[in-house]
Amino acid sequence: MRIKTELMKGNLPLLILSLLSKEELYGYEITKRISERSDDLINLKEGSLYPALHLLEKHGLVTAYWVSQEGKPSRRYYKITPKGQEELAEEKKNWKDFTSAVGRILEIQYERV
Amino acid sequence: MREFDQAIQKIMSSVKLPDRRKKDIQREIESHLYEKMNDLIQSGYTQQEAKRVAIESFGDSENFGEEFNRVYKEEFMMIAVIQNRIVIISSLVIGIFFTVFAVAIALKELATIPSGPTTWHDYNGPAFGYLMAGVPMLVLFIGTIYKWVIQKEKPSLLIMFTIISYLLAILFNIGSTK
Repeated sequence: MRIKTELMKGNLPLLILSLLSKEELYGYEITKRISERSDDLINLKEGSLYPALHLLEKHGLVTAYWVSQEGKPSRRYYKITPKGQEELAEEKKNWKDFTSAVGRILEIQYERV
Repeated sequence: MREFDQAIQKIMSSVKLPDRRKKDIQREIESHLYEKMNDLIQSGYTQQEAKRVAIESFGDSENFGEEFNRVYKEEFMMIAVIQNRIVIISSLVIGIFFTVFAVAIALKELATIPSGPTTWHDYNGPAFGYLMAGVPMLVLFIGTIYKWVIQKEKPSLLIMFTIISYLLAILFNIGSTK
């Protein structure tokens, strides 16, 4: 089963910020990480990643820089900013509250690891 | 990579942003498709197949363009507003200058004519031409500025371009009759 694209759209910035909080990544690498970490459950249309990245950059939550490669197209790396870290912490908390509320309504029991 | 170039062109076709911004996005897509293709080749795809899958998994161009246009909407609008203001202001300044110039020449010409109905009739100089062109233009300028400044009604670019072309025609006329 794959997670629906519409469900993913609103949460994409949160996923991006979370990945960038661990390391600096370029666009294609971000799509790969999302796919790997979700065991291929989240497989977004790759093009939708870039408007989200540019929106985060516009709001000062990430910065970007080009790294040239010999004989290959340059990569645009993204890096989370302190403002982005703050936003991530806030959004993580919101997400936790939201999923726990939805879980209670749906009466889902999560397995404890 | 003709296939990638064509795909990038299609993806970018609905992105309506300033060139500098478009170039950055274009480079980013190019890098993405290239990386994806290489990964697919390493996992056993032929180059042709890898290119096709890389393009397909990027998604449709219409959504891509719409989302990008939304991200930079304000920036794009601001550039359009600034360009609009520059054209209107420069049109007004240049226009007024040429109109006043035309009227001034006309008045100077008329001042040299001795009075008397017979002489007026015999006059063949360019003064009346300048007046015919200059006075209505001057009225139009005053009207445009009044509407813009007092009534806060922005003059359309078409009107400004019409005025400018008309005034340039007067200028060339002045040049050719001198």
